[in-house]
Order: sequence, then C-alpha cells, then structure tokens
Amino acid sequence: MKTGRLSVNPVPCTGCLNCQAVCAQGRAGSHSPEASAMSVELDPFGGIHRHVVCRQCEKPGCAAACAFGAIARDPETGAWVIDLGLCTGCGRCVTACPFGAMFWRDDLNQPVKCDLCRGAPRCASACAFGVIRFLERADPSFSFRGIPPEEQDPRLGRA
Amino acid sequence: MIMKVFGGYAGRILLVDLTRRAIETRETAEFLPGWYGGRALAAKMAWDLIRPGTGAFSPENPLMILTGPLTGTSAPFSGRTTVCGLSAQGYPREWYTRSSFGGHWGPALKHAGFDGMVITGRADRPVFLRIEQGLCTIEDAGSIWGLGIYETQKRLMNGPGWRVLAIGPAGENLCRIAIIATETESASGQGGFGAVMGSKNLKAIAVRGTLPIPVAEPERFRSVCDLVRAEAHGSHGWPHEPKLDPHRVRMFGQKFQACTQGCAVRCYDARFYTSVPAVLDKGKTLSGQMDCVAGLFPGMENSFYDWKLGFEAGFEVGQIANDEGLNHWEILIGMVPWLRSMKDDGSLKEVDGVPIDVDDPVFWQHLLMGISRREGRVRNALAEGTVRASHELGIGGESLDRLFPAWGYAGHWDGHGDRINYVFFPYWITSALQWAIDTRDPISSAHGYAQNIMGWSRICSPVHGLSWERIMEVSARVYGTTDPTDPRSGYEGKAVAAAWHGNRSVMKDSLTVGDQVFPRIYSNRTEDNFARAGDMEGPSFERHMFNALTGNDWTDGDMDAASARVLSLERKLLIRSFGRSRADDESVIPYFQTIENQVNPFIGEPMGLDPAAFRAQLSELYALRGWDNWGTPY
Repeated sequence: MKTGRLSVNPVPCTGCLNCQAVCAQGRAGSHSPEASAMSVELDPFGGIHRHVVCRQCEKPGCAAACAFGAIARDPETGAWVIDLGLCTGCGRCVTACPFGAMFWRDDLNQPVKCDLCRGAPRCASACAFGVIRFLERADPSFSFRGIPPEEQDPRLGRA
Repeated sequence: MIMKVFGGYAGRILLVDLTRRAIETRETAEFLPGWYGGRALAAKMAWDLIRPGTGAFSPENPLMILTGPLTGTSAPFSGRTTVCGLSAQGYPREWYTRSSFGGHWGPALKHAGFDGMVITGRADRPVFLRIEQGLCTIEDAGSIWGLGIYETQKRLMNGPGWRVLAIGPAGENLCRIAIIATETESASGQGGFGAVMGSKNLKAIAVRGTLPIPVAEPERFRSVCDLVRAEAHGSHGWPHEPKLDPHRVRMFGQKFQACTQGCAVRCYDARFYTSVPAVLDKGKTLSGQMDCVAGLFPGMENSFYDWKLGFEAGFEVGQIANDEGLNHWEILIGMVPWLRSMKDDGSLKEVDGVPIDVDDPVFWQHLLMGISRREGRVRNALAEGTVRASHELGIGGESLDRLFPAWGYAGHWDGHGDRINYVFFPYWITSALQWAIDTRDPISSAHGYAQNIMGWSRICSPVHGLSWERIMEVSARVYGTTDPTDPRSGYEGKAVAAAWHGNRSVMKDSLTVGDQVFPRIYSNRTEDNFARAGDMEGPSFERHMFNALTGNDWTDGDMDAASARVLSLERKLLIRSFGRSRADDESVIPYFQTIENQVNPFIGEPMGLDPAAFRAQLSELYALRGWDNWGTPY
C-alpha cells in the first residue's frame, strides 16, 4: 500500500468538480458536496479555483485538538484517519485545522476527513488535468509543506 | 419497461406562480418512469400546461428549467440543464422548443432539493428567486434590474456554493435573441428564453444546497462512471486532444475550462482567459471564458467570418454580448454576416448613425448595446432577431434565405449557411431532415452525426482519423446499415440516422449529458475502432450510467422508446397549438436546394438538395417515428 499525501496545482483546474463528486460518491455512496472530504471553491470570474484538501500534516492540528484520541495515523497509508467509534462529534478538530480541510456533515453530526482512499485517492484518479496528484512519500520531491517547486506558479503569489 | 425509482432524483419539482407569488411542489415520481428527466419531463408538463393561443410572452407560458437524473452526480459530462417552453425566437410562430446550458447551476439546484422548476405568471415588479436547502423564496430585484449578467451574479453570490442564473438587459427588454446565463459563458443561448424570463419580471435564480442525490447501486455506478470517464477522448468525440496556444497562454493566461460540471476532457472550444487587456474600456483587464462560436468574435482569417477585430477586441466584444445577455450564434453566424451583405449590396450603410464596419470594435459595441437596450430604429428591429428585423425593415430577404434555414435560426452543420463547420453532401441531408421536423436549430444536442463523421474522417483528422471503410463498418453497428456514413450513399439511410440521433438528442437533454462527447461511437483505443469500456458498448454508455444510478434495468430499446415518445408528444403539442404540418416541415427545402459550401471528393462537384428524394426520406423519417405521412403521430 502506498503512503503519501495529495498535492494540488490549481492552475490547470477546469472547474469540472469531478474530484469532489467521486470523493462524495466513494465515501457516502450518494452525491452531496457535504459528504466530500475535499472541496473546490470555484471562481467563475477569475478562473483560478481554490482547492481545499487535507495535507496529512506531520503534526496535525486536528489530531492534537481531539481529546478522545479519535484521530490517528494509519501506518499503512500515512493518512490521519478518524475512528468514528471514539469520535464524540464535538467538532474541535474542524476548528483546529488551519487549512479548513476538516469538513463537517450536519446530517450525521460527524467530521469528514480525507483518508487517501486507502492509498488510492479517487480524486486524483478522476482528475484528467493533473491538478490533484497523489504524491508518494518515496518521491524525492515529497514534502509535507507547500506545493512542490515544479508546480509553483508565480501568478498565484506562491514563492 | 420497469422503473424502480431509487436513485438520481432530488424528488421534487418546484412550481412558482409569480402572479400569485405562490410556491408549490410536485413529486418527480409522478412523471416516472416514462418522462425520465429534463426534456422528457418538460414535454409531459408542456402537454398538460400549454393551451392553444398561449404565446411566448403570455404569463401562462411555463418557463421550465430542468435537470436530469445524472445531473450533479459523478457521471462524467453531466452538469447541463435543459430549458423548455414557448420560445420568443421561434419564427414564424413562437413554437414550443428547448435550449440548454452548462456551468454549475443545475447540479446546485439538485443539491438544493429540486429536479427542476416551472415558472408561470408575471411578477408585478422585478424579482429574483432564492433557493436553498429545499426552500424557495421570491425576493425583490429592484436593485439589480438593469445590471449585466456578471454583476447580477456577483451581487447574489453570498459565499461559497452559490450559483446564479440570470438575464441581462437584453432579457429585461424582451429581445427575442436574449439568453439566460450563468458564470461567464454558459447560457441557454438559442430560443430567446431570456426574453421569456424577462417577460415574467424575473431577473435571476440563485441556488445553493448540499442535500444528497441518492445512488441505487453505488459500486456499479462508480465503476461505470470511471470507465466512461477514462474512455472519453477529446471533445466532439474526435480522435485527438487539443492543445493550448502557447502565445495566448503567455499573453492572456489561456487555460482549459470546463463549460459544464463533470466535463473530463480538454476541449477544442472552451478556454478561460485570466488577463486580456481591454481595447474599448482602456486600462481594464478582462477575464472570462470563451467557448465554441465565441471564438469567431475576433474574426477568422481565410474564412467567411474574416472580420478583423483581433483577439483582444474580439474577446471584449464577446464579453459584452455575454454581459448584456445576447445569443452568440445568432450574432456571429446570422446577424453580422447578414449586416455585412446589406452593406455590400448597399441596402443598409449604417446602423442608427454608425457606419457598418465589422472590423471596428466600436461598431460592435454600438450594435450589441443598442440591441439589448432597444435603442434606434435598426437596433430595435434587430432585437427581434435578424429574421423578424429583415421583414420589419423590408431589406435583405435574399441574404436571409442563404443564412437562415428555418424557424428564425441561423445555419448549423447544414453545409450551406453555416460556413465554419465542414460538412458536405450527403451528410447534410440528415441535418436537413433534423431541421425539417424541429422548431429551432436542431444541432444543439445532435452534433453526434455530421460532426462525428467529419471529425473522424481523414479529411478533418489526417493523422488520427479513420478510413471511410472503417467509419462505415463501425457505424453499421449503430445504424444497422452503412448508408448513413457511406460518402457515396446519396439519400439512402439518412432518415435512419436522423431518427436515431433524434432519440439521442432527447436522451442527452433528459439525462442530462454533454452533447459534444456523447454518443460514443468511434474510438482509437480499440482494435476495431468501435468505442467500448469494460463490457459496455459506446452507444450504451448513457444507459448503463442511468441504470446503475436509478436502479432500473432498461435496455437500449427501452431508452430509445422512451425518447421517441417524447418527440411524438412534442409533435402532438405543435399540432395542437400551432397546426404544425408537413407543409411547414418541407419549408426548409428551398434553403437546402442552394449549392453546398464544401464538395464531397467522391462526387467532385457541389450539390444541392433534390426535393423529391428528400421528401421520400422525410416520409421514411415519419414512418420510423411512428407518424403518418402528414407528420402526425398515430
């Protein structure tokens, strides 16, 4: 099983939202933007869309904020995953994530988090434009921080 | 046909009566199984609602905006929305017709809890609709009435997830070529439905929602969608993928952009530009999408559309048309070539005080802004659409006959008036049959025939295309005969193709899926060049997605029958309300009798339509549709 994290280069994104749709479908079986563990905020007038995906941080705020030890790293995939048996639905993890990448389902009173689809993220495979990629830990450019240098774009103000 | 309603539908249809300010709902299930979404559902409601004597601007005209079961799901290319009702653009009658748009609005409507809406009545003052999580309210639009489509959307987008459908000044002023649009280039362009919306004093519809769309068989649906998504080639179903223009990437931030949610291919047509310097509004930098026919705004060298605006000015003029809410196809393929010919023959030298100069962006701005605001005698006439304007002004009848096949719409994939799309005899015979029995330009959801054949031929795709023999071999699996694609076939088999693609059009507008990709017929990813994914055959992809999503087990025959029934009901409605007859259908003949634009290399000389042979095909098409020889469904 592969370990790593998702990497995002928003520039080639066409705004098709296939990533969000397959994530919701894979996780909930149905289609609701709320069931997705990622989101794309469209900018129909500027054309550069904003993607919110979990970075699988080395020191995740979500796990640190959880008083019940419900968020732990899956040793096989490297993803931080929620044990819903331990989760009380307090929502502290959601407010603790500085990237807004921990989502909330009102209907289930539960947090929603990217678990990298057990090492084969559906969003990355559904993306036809190379916007969302699965960055393997074995990759030399792997980093928990930021976007790999070759994917940085000065137009986005990222240095 | 068995229908088990499990998945795909939000479950309710919104009924808004703006006169009474009443909001009600109906269960979508009332219309299932047969009227399975979008255009199909609209046909049934139209049959029940539209009385003879109702016109496009009558408050009773139902403006129906509908999604389908696939809309908003992970089915690829499934973000479109269908608009139906009596059309303002229709000529000589305001026939019942349909249009559709992409963007992200339809999926949001479903997540807000509705499969569609029917809007009747007329508000006593400008209003907009706000729909969120199963609730709809009628709000005052006094402060946004008069604004362009872009600014209207920006004012009504109160945070992430809001999607807005709006009309511009053109719709407010009842221009018969007014669009309903969302984002910067997704519009229900043909039909004049922007004017219908304007006649109801309805400026916009803002939606947001996160309600789930159920899926009957999640694992099967996921696997079918993944396979279909991976199989798709470039847009237009063509064999190769397009590339960006490095110069425009560098200068104007060109990028690919999905013209509808769910699109999974790089497109020939849809581009977003992030930084285009304005020419008219100096000092400003513009951003926005430029799709499809809008690519002609700058002008195209060595073509019939060779005006010289240049990219920057052309982009800006296109954005003006979007913002004002005007129909691109009408302007670029019909109106401007018509004005040009009026200038050339001396019938019209200026438009309300400004000389006709199609190379000057100031002229275009004057033309478009004046049409949408109905300023000046000529532009006020043009706001009625070119065909009505020509009659009103008493000029340009001959040019009109060359550019507009029928029903008030400019040519499209017909080998005659539309000179941007390459199609020769005998393929435009099928286009002629499609035009004959329709009430609008029929190609909106029927690119799958002529465009597919020409695109896969080695004439248009010298490297990746297929031989004529291979195209015929593959297509015989679809049509049951090689005649529809044989370049030497003459009139044979064209009715078969028109019937088959007519059903597919209904299917696409009802499910909903993108017209530029479906139906999947040809492929360069299989040995025999017949599109396939897993154990599914290309032409059945839509049905497989529909079945897995809804829990049905329809066959291709079921899907075809359901779609054909929609066409017959639409026809019955036309006969009941407008006395539509075979004589109307045959009124397209003189247009197609003129000599074609391109020449079939197997024939070597340009062709025109043979009326007798065409009438025989029309009779055959009626028979295939289950209609009598006068075009009346049994």
